[in-house]
Amino acid sequence: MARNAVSLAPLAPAAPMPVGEGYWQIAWRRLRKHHLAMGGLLVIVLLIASAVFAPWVAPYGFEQIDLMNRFASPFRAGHLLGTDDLGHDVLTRLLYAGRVSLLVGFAAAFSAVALGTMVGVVAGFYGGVVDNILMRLTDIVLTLPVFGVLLLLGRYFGGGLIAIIIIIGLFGWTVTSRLVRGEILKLKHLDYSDAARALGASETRIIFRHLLPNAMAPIIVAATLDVGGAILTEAALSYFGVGIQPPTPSWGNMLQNAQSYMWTSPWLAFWPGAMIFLTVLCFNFFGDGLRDALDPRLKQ
Amino acid sequence: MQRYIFRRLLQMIPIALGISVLMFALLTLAPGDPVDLLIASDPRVRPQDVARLKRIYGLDQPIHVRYVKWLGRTMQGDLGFSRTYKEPVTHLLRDRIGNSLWLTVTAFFLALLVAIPVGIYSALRQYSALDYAATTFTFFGVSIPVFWFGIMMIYLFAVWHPWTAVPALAWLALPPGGISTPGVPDGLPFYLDRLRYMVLPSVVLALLSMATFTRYTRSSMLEVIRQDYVRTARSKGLGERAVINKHALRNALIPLVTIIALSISGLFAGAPITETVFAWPGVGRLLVDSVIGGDYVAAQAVLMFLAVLVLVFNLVADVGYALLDPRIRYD
Amino acid sequence: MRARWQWSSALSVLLLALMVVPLQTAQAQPAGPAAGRDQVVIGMSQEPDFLNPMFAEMAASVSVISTIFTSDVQRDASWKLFAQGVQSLPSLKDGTWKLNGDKMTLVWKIKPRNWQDGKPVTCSDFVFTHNAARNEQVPVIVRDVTNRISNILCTKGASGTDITVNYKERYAYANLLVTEYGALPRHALERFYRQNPSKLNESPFGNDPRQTIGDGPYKLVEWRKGASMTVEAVSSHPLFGTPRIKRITWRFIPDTNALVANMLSGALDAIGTIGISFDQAVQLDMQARGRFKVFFEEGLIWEHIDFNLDNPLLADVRVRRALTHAINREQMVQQLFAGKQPVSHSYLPTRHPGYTDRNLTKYAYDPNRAKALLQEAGFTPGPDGVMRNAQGQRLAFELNTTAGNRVREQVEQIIQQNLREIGVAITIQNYPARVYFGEITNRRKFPAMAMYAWVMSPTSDCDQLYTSDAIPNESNGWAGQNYPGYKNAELDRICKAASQEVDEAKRNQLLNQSVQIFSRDIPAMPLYVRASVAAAKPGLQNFTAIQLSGTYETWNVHRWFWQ
Repeated sequence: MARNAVSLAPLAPAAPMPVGEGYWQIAWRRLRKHHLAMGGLLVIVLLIASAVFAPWVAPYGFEQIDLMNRFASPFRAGHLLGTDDLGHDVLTRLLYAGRVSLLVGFAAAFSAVALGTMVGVVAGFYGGVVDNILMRLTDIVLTLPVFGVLLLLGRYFGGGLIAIIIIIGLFGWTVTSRLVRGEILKLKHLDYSDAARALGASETRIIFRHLLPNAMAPIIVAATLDVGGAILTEAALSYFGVGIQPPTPSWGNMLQNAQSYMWTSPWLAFWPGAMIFLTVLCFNFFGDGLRDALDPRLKQ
Repeated sequence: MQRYIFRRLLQMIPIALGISVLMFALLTLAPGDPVDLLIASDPRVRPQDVARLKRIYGLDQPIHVRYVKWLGRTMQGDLGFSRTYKEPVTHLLRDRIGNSLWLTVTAFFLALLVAIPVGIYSALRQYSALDYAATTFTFFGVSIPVFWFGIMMIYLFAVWHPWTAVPALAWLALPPGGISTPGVPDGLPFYLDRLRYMVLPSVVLALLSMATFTRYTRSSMLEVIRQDYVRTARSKGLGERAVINKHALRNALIPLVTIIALSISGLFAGAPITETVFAWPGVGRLLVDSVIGGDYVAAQAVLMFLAVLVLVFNLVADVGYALLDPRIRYD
Repeated sequence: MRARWQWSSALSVLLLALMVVPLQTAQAQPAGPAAGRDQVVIGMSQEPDFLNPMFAEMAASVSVISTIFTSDVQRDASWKLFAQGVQSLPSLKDGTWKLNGDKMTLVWKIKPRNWQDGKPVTCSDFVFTHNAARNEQVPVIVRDVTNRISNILCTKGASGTDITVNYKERYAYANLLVTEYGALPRHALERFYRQNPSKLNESPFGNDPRQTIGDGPYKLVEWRKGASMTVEAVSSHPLFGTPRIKRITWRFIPDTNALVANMLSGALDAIGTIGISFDQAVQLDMQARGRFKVFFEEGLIWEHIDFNLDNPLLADVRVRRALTHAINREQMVQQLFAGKQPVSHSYLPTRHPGYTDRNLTKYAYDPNRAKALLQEAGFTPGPDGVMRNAQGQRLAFELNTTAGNRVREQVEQIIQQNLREIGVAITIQNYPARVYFGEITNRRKFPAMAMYAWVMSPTSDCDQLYTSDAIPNESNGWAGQNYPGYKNAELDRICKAASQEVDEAKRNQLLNQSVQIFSRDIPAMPLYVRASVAAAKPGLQNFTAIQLSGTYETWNVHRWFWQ
């Protein structure tokens, strides 16, 4: 994550204001050439679609249990990926679990980035004491043994979807806030913000019309990579039993549950982990491609 | 430099205090004290028993009093007594740190040993097959869920291991978890036994750092070989090997020092999952067990230990960077 | 680009291939002992806390303690009581148990034996231990029996073996123990007790092998914290003779999967009852193939669902009965537990001495009967398929249990599906154990149904469990365990009488009545009785899977041997 800050630092200082469409068009053209990123994007779109359309795609109901048909092996007996300890169809569960895991991923990443951006903008724009306090706060959060604190919070407030999203979001904002603060510090002394100020533009207007749009590229990249991170975090929390609680399926709790049956039904542990891996991998591919595409230093 | 270090050390105090207050509050304000739970687990426990035990343990006092007492005792090196492990936390922590070091140090060197040569090679031969393989590997390494990777490794090497049918490969049936076989005599047999237990968890723990280190080495090397002085050295007619060894490598490794120092604390912090999957009795597992098991005393100590570790290694990273890079000056 | 894809796809194909190929683990392992014919290696998922019987909270500790110390009275594999450390159990017949109005006196004589450092076990050891347990400063947890005792007398002097125990009140189970914590070696412990009673649990006695002196068939020789514990046989013990197994080592493997793997690899001779989950035992059984035996023993842990009787819908007994009829407990037990954890029909488990099958109201799976009962109670199907009454109240309930308990989560989902079929909607909301037991159940905050287990013992009765004075509320400081809020004057009378009845036959009659009343009113839905599980290599003789409060598989450890 720290690397983002380094490679993106000298971003678009000379870009005309407001950001012209040209910049995004160029970025898109570059992105399209990035095969891994496009592959990642394609898989992500497919995953999202299968999660959204799960009720239509899934071969069974996700709460449908079949006690007479537990632990069915994959590729047999009408269950493509087999059945679990209650006779749930694993494919169906994976699709529905994808809804939860992706939702947590997007929502937590979004809240983390939104919070980080807010802190970064306020700290960078106002500077002085405000900046100092906010940055010390960031330091403290960065020093926290985050995993332990997440477990702790998960233990007391966890279980629910919203709670998990808030808990993950609450500790993921620090990197973004430093990044955004750096951008804002750089941008606020550039000619166009001075010009805007001279023309009597309000603070809010300067922030939202001039500063934020120019700091958008690193924020977008951070958000993309954060989605993968949040999915991993949720899975880890669920693995320890403090994430999303059954009967709501998530990839993490499916994996945790499957571990007890590893000796006799190892495929139960394989599928959900593979889904997490695939999803996170694709977000990383896409985020990486996006970073290259949005980095104006790279000429094609 | 000494003044800088001193000032940084001073700055750590308020941060550490802030964290300790936060942790203490989170741990103590949560519902369901272990003593309260006794009532639910044993019908012979009466409310007056709970009240008596709370008085003995000092749990009947207001939170700020308990915090000040905790702080006072901690300052004197007494981290309290874990009611789950029935051991003074200092002993517990000492044993656990020892166990964790086995893993952490091995994983750390394993990661460096792979990452630096691979990173350098892929920078020097950019776009070669190995570079692609290394890049893909770094993506895999940062994307794979550690617990799943661990479980799959256990399945392959400890449950399934079809290759053990070949007698020469029989030793590749590795233990699925734990730290040593009891009854193994001290000395060489003990270390050989320990080695077998360490293979899987250290590989799993190393993977993430391996991927990050490779990535950093590669990009740092790429940046350096584009620099003027490397070009100059080359144009002076120095051999490629000399250029790389004398000029590029040294400079490329400077930023790596920061990353490495920062990641030592990260390795500790990243170990909870690995240690839990492989039932390795280290600090990470203690963190998980004490937080989930509601052992405040142990949890508070581990959380503080990890926080202080991060603070210290942040400082080490900065100091190391300054020592290696003459362009940076602190005062 | 191409190289990259080849590489990753090759890896994925490899991984897939490895996973999907059906597994073949059948490696024949020798079934012989792991460490020699005079040794046993047992795997446990817990590590003992203290080996001082006063502070041993964990089952693992109790299981080890019974090899190091002698119990006054012990239970055998069929749960029958026998005198171990005492000459005989006091009884009303021979006058060693005397009733005196509300008070009573028991006369004991202990079997002569020595502590492992050579000093004799005496009456003064009992007196010392009892006084320590009474001390407000000592962090002993349970003082249930201690508080009922008024004093202990050494009738033949402090160094004698005759003990008279005077009780302030009638207590039905006073013949099961001399005092709550029996005898501890005064000469080894008193020093620490005088120094700091509030840290008696942290003293070397019970923590340091050299200073932990017992009077049992084995003595502690090594304790590697976090790894293992070893005891060695005492030779020619006056009570136990010379055990054939010279060394027992417990390995602590907190990860139950690793425990299973170690059993499979032959590194363990046995897994104790504090080891693997029921589910894992069933799986292990499938893989055993004669290499080891898996034991299932029906115990006294009762899984059930409390109905909150303050919920107006559940206050109607017809609704409670309908819900119970609607759940196919028999199929659940057969499919999930391979029939080894039987359906329960009342609050006492089948093997409890107070249980009876006579005149018991049983609720067989019968969805039609369930629907009829609901109709009788005024419920008809609503437009959403959920039953509702004339006031429009829907039969929609929240079901709570502890988060992270896989078996309970499975049972919840089965109940949810079963009840949906009779038009009852269930939402599942689980809490971490400490919140659940620390806030929800004990303060009766569950809105409708709460699933959990009571760990019973052969001496459990319904006093404090279903008597109306034991409904937790603000004014009694949330004391009592009648979480459903059940009130029945007849049951109150029976339960109180049973808890004070010293005659076992009469007591069991009273308990029989309580079981019948309970099954009629069902303030809580009985689900099933848990089984304890253990595993051992077939050559290990006399090993059992007994798990009762205070009695574990180690109860007869001195009689184990390899064949």
